Amino acid sequence: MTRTHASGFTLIEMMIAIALGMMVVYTAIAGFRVASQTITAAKRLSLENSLLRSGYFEAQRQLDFWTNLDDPTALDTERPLKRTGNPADSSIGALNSRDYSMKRGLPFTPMRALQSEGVWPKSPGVPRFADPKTVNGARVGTIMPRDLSFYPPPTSANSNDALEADTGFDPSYSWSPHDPRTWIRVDLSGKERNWVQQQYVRNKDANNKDVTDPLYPDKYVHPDFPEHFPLVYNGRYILFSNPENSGAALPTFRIIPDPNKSPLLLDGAMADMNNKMVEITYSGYPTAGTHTWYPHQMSRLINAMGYAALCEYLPPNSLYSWYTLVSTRGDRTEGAWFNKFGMHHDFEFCNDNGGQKSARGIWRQTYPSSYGYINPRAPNDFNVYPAPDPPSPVATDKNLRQRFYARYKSDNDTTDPNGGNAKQLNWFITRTGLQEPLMVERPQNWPEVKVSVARFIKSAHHVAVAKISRFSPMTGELIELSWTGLGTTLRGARQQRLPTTGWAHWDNDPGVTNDPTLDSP
Amino acid sequence: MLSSPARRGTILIIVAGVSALLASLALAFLARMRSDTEESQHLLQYAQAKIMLAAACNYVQESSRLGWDRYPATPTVDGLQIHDEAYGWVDVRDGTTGPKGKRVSGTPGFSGPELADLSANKWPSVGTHVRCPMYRMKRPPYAIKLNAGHNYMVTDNPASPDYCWPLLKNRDPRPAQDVDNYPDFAAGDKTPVVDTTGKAWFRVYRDGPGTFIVTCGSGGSDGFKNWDELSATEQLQFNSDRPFFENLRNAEVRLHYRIEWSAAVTEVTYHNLQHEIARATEHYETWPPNASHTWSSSRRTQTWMKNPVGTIRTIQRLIIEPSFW
Repeated sequence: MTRTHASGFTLIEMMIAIALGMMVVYTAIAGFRVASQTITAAKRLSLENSLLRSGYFEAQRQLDFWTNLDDPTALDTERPLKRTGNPADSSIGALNSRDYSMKRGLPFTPMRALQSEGVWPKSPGVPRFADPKTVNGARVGTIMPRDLSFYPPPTSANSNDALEADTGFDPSYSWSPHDPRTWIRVDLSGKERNWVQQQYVRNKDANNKDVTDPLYPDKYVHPDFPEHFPLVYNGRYILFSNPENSGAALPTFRIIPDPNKSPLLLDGAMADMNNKMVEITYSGYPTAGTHTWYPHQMSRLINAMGYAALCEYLPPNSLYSWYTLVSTRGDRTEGAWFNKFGMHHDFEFCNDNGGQKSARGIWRQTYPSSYGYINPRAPNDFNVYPAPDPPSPVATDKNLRQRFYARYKSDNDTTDPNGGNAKQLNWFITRTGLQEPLMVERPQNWPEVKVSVARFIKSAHHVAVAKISRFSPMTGELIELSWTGLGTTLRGARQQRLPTTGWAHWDNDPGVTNDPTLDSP
Repeated sequence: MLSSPARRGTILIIVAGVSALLASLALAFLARMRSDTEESQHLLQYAQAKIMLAAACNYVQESSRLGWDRYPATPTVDGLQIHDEAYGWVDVRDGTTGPKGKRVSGTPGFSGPELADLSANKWPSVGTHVRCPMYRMKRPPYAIKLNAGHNYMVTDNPASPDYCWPLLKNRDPRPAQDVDNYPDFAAGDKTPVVDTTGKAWFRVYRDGPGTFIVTCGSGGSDGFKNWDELSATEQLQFNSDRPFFENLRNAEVRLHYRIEWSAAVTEVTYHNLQHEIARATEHYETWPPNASHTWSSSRRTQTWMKNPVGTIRTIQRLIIEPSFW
């Protein structure tokens, strides 16, 4: 009997084979899915990290080239910080009525434009650049400490000398420490008897009565100052800078202490103090002349670029004040508000910390407040202190300049009617460090990366805070990375730009003619 | 026969296809990771180079006054070299090119001891450079311990003769590592810590009396500009292998800046001194550096702004590599 062999699978074999096959297929699919998901996740993470890296490099670019504030490759119409101000607009930083007719610049306004407007006149007959030297084949010394012999010798004792009259900005000049013009001659120990302070703390006698000054019976004696001092001791500041008195011997100044401490002093009390003013006469460098170069440089730097730029272009030990003939009140000029670096906290440069209308250096100016470069695309509500709420819709060009010496108060001012320091600080941060998208357009599911570099002066330090934020629309995750960066300063950024459009190249090869810059006369 | 050749071929194709798919995914993944790593490496190098900018600025500031020996020979007292203090890259006394030593009494002008041969074609003369490859030393010169409290007061043992006495029994600060003698303490151990060399460097070219070209680099060239600049001895550092050096150089991040140093060190605010005039002591005695800004008599100290090594007045990132750096 012949048996026929069936060539097939049994049902059980088939079931096992199908089950195993399904497992294999499932495993393969699962493996593929996992791999695919991994790739997708990795791709997404890679994209996010790549965008973060791009944000980092963009922040570094802004730190080194200031492109968030001024793009030199753009048309002038797209460079708001390159404009000159309206001469009729007092809110762009006029210092006094005499300056109202003068145009003013912004941080990226070319000096050349300001020169043609008379903001920064070039003194005729004064060579503008030191002769460059060649050492070891390289051109060196294009920024040299100017030897005073560089200038024509003084012809007289007055300030018409070319040395004093050289007030045009010179990018090759470095405010050398040995140049006496770079120093305000100030006797910081010359002070008045602190009459105002006596109003707050009075010495008491045995009968608990206020002790008055024997020479000034209407003044009370401070317990820390029982000795008698004259109201003015060596003058409040022995400045001899007087830009409005060129060519004449410095007149006798009548100096009063704390001339504008309080509006209350402006009436009867001030009249009384005027009777006790002490007259001083200056005699000194060069010889009984008036030192005009320093205040000219200061005032014209303000006119040229504004207050924050002033702090950067002047050496850090500058004292922001000078005398003028406009007022005989020593450290202030005309009007109730117009100290040269006056007190009015909505308007002027000097902050009101301490309540003194006194000449200050950069630290004193910037430890309770800050001067920032505000992004021109930030909301244009420049009324900084007190901050308006809602922000005032001021968006005209004429106010652009004032926004660049905006400030906040960081001291213990708890009386701010608009909500206190946090609000001021937030205002300041969001205007100086306006977060702007890295990409104008992007797929909706892509992370959004924003970059900002905030620049401001705080406690005498020129600070640049870079920040990158990345928001994921898929997960809602927000990551922020910020650091204090070191990079190009404003003066350096101006040297990077042509007065027209584009980047200025610099080289120290003697055979190369370097491009003019925003600082070129 | 359990399977036909066609069936085997089908399975092979499926397996090969799935494998190829997985392999391509893996490859894409690896390629992306590599790309990310390379970009991250570039970012890391860039960050390191920017750190070198800060290091270079610090170097320019500090060496405006510190770190100089007398030229041509440094005097010693008791076997220790006497280091001089300079008066700035631009001498604050007369505006001449520094660094120069302190004025010698009776000497005309400001001609003090020379700290360097400024007429020579070597650092720190104008037109010369200094190269500063950075690494971490095992123990820097004059390293001290960072912890404080070497003279703590005994307060837990009333029987101790030192109980509650503020005795200064130990030197404070103390050397970072117990060394046998002062020269060891002064010399430190400059051996590089492993993996800290070849990372970053800066190089300072004196462009003028107070201006400098700073080049910041991240990579292994140690700040040599090109192969031609290396002496035969220096070439040994790179195995005398020019392509090797050039590979290192080409993989670097190099950033060029121009900076200006100023002797200006602090600010002068009249009012900070105003309240000290009628007092018997000097301002710095009345309000030492750690005085706080409290209100009562408006206590302030100028030393908040004390900065004895000058200021970097301006920094400019150069758009193109300068010819001399």
